[in-house]
Amino acid sequence: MVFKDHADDKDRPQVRLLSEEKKDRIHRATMEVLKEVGVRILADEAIDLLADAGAEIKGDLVKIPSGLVEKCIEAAPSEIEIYDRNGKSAMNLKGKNIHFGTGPTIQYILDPLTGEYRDSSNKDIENAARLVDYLPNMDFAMTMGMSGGINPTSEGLNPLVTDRFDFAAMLKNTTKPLMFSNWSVEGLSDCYQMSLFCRDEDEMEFRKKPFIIHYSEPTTPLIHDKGPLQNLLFCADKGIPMVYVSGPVAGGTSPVTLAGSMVLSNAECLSGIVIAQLKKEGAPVVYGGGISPMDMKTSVSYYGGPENILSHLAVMEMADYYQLPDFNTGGVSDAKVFDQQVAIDYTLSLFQAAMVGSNLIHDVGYMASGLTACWAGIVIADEIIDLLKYLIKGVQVDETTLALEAIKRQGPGGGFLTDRHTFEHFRSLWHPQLLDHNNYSGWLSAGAKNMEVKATEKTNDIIAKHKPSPLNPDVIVQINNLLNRAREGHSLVKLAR
Amino acid sequence: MTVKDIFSAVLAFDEETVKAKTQAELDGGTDIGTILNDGLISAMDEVGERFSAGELFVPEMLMAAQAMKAGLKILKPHLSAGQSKSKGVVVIGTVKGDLHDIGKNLVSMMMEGAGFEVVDLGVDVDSEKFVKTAAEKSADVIALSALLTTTMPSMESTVKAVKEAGMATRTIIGGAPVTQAFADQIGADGYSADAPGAVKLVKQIIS
Repeated sequence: MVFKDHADDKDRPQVRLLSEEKKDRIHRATMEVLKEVGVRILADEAIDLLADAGAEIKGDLVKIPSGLVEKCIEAAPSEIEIYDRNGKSAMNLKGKNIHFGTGPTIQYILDPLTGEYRDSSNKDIENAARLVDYLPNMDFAMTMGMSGGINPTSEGLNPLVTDRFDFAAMLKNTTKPLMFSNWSVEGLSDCYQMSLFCRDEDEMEFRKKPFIIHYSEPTTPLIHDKGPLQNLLFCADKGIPMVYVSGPVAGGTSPVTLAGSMVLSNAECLSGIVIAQLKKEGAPVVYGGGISPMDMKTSVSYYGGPENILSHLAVMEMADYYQLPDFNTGGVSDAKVFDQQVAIDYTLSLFQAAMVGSNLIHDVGYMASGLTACWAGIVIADEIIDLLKYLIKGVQVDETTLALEAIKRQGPGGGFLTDRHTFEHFRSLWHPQLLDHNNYSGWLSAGAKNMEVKATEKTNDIIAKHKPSPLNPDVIVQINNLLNRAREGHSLVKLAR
Repeated sequence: MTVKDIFSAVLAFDEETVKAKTQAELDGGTDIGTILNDGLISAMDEVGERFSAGELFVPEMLMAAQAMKAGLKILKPHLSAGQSKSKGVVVIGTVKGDLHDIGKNLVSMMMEGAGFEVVDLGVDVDSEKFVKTAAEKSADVIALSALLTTTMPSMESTVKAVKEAGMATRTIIGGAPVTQAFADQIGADGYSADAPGAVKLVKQIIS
């Protein structure tokens, strides 16, 4: 079969990493891995589906023929429409449409109010969601924290049920779409139930206007674990859009070379897509693969290297090749403090994601290689994204923009500041909110604030003042009842046994 | 129909409406001083404040100034000697060796908008010309502009020439590389980083 890139907007700047020949080679290598090496599948239903479709089964090792993989790629939709909590169209996951959001399950937070590093909490998830709700360039929310931090039992919460509390904290604090994870299919079912409360418990209505995206991962190398598979099957069945993307650590869980890691993550993602399509043809799945190399001195898997930029660009080009909606990473840093490295890492990673044009760009606001949430970083990223959205519009060349009339009016030595062409079009220039373009004395008289101070002030202002549109009180009651049932059903007494 | 409409039209950058409303007020017998001060000049004061607050952009400020001037032109033949007396006279120019005039023009227009009589000498103006014109016009202020660090010494020589001529005229300077410290160093009477600031500065100096 022949895969081909989407046609591009004519003015959009182009970034191209892989030739068609290289994409074909990566695809063929991936087909060879799936056919000859195979993947381990740790859920019986998935094995049965694959067996019925003609895959070769030996115990839990499944070898998938290329024809089946390619058929399922074609069956998967190239476009997924995501709505907001109120049922309004919010994100069109297609082609090079870009959308940005925060990231999942972070242990620590850099508190913008106190400046301290501390464990994250359910309250932090609420506030991060409110921040996303307010910021114009944030399109979807992920948790950016963990209910009960890394030790939820200290708050009387069984670690197995925190996923429901994470989800509810977001649901109550933003109308924007949510991306979420679960620790079990029971947790997923509960979160789905909470979403249905917002759609009058009408499953068809939810299917028509989904506002949640489930996120789970295969285990590199080449393993589909039981929990993520059950989630995948549940989502396919219910029409819940899902991201099922692995995170290979190049040199650790996958080959140290980027092409080799891409083949592996491609095999994992595509075999997941096969299972989803076999469960329900046309199931909404998002393609991706976030390769992070292992630092061979410290063994840390990092976010801000040139390898990350290259691998994300390359993987997203494969998404275009397969004509699948894609999932990328941006606004991430390895810096431990809120310093210049954050700005460098954020800008580069967001630039990469905006240029290649990814549909879901997550992890905005990550620091310390994904261990720390930085809210002021989200606010800065919102500004960088605003700039990038301007940049990817490119240069428009037409009669108006060529301004020949104005040039003729002014001639040599004329001035454009008072020309009506300037007055009519100066609003097309980009205006920063945080970045400072002023001169030194202007900056001094405006309070001489650096970026960190300005971003932190804005963050605290939003947290203090922004009131998201509230949920219907009846829905809140339904959600709270569900949370109470989950808490009681997984009591700490049971945990102790 | 009130003078307030003229004020609003200036703030809407609407030259045609400013002209029409000014003419209508004039024909209707409204006090000319009221039209001038409450309509046109107070509108430009508001424009200056909004610009300094970051609410208006440079092209908008200039459009407002143009609209204001169009209204002023209609009033001028009818102004009495007292009414037509400007708030002060400012001689402005870009100093010797420098051909850059965007910033200077901006200041010039803002000053006119604020009700000052502005004598704009253009670019590449030597100190003799500044001194001579200021003396002829009994100028209150000489405003010097420079974009190049290489032409900033011309500011110093002009300031010196004004002092040596024994004139009461005060000197103010501005331009991208110019600073308050430089103004202090060469003995200029004032410095502003932007156009509305320059207008405020001249108001302070004259009062």
